[in-house]
Amino acid sequence: MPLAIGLSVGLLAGVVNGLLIAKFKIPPFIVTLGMMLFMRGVATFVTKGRPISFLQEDYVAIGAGMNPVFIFLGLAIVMHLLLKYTKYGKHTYAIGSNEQAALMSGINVDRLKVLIYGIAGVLSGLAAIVMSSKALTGQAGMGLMYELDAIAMAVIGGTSLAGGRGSILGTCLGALIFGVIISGFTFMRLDAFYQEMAKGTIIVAAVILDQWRAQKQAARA
Amino acid sequence: MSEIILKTEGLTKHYGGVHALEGADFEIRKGEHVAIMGDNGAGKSTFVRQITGVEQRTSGKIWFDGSDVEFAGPLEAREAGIETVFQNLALADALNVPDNLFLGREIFKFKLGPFSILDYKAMREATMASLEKTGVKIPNVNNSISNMSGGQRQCVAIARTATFHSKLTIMDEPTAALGVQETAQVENIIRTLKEAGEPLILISHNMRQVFDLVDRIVVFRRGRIVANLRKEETSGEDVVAYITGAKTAPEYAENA
Repeated sequence: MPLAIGLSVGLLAGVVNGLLIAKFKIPPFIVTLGMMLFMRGVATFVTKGRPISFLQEDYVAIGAGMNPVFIFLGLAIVMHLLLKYTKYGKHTYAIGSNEQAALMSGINVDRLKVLIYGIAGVLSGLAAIVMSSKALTGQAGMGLMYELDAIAMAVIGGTSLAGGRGSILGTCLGALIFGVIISGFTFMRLDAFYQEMAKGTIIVAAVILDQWRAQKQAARA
Repeated sequence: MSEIILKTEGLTKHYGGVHALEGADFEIRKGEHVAIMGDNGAGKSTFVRQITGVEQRTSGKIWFDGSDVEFAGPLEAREAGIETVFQNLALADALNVPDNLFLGREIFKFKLGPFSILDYKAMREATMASLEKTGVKIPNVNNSISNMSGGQRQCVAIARTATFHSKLTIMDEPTAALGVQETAQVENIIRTLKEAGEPLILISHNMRQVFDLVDRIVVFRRGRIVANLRKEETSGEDVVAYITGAKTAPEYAENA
């Protein structure tokens, strides 16, 4: 039951994001950031700002030991197959690549966007479940600034901010690279602020790299 | 004479005070290739935008395939069977050739709503077959469109039109930005359309190309149709005279 609620809240947030982006043509960055802030407010309200703990055995088991890794691998494989071998995936790339062309080719762009953001919402709901289960607690302030980490991992892995390019495999590699760099700091016992400086640098550098790739691409065409 | 596929009557488009198109009566029959010529701003592209639903006409009537039509957008026109190659090509840059050819009409191994499984092999084979049929040479179809030259892109866009049999094809200056060889390729595709008996409206400034490819030439000047010439009964000089306004066909005299 808590699982279903968690996933449903994610789905709802995602679908609302998708509808706002598709119907009102608001830049996705703004919509998703706004939703994040709104949901954080809701979470603080519901928990009255205090951490809640839940120690039912089956809930704790989700995040115990290697389970998060298996969940990650399983989902990565499923999403890889979805993106690469289904109509959903092909049309997602098409929208990212040239929305006008996708529209002219008869793709129902609005409906697909709602589906895409809905799936993203469910996945973030799942991530929240795994995280709170692993931490044995849930609080409104968890996962702060994860959005930038996620962008950095995707861009390092070859996803284009301009759209149309990227893969699950690349993103997994990006996440590994990013993770290794960050844990390296911990192993070397450097202070946390060095880690933050490094993260910031990596994110900006990854975006510069993405721009540079796009320019090279445009020059060749 | 075969059946009329598209007919317009009194087709008119005003942009505020600008009369871009005024009372255009036009028809094209099944299997016929018609060129639309005229100076820049003569109303050629405006005319095409009205029949493909990109813009909504001010007044006038359009019949397509036997019925009175009013397309709300280009997608509706396309679903009805009018395939248009626009000047700005509708291709997805990050995808490869088969993906673009089949965009929106993929072949599936297994159908399940949005999660239907794509049949890459079948689409690739169909792509190779259609490229061969249209004589388009692309070294590696798995390359993404963004890595291709302007001519190759244009060929892919046109091959897409030729692959899926449409009731009417419209090309707006398909060779304007192409080199000699690429132009020849595009013209070959147009010939295959002719052999297949598919009607075509071709907008072009290239006199040689028009005389090589089409059956009939319709000349626009300042928003009006001023001549409707069978290719055999006219000459390049004649057409130029109509385009520049040195001459107006008697049946359109009251228009000019």
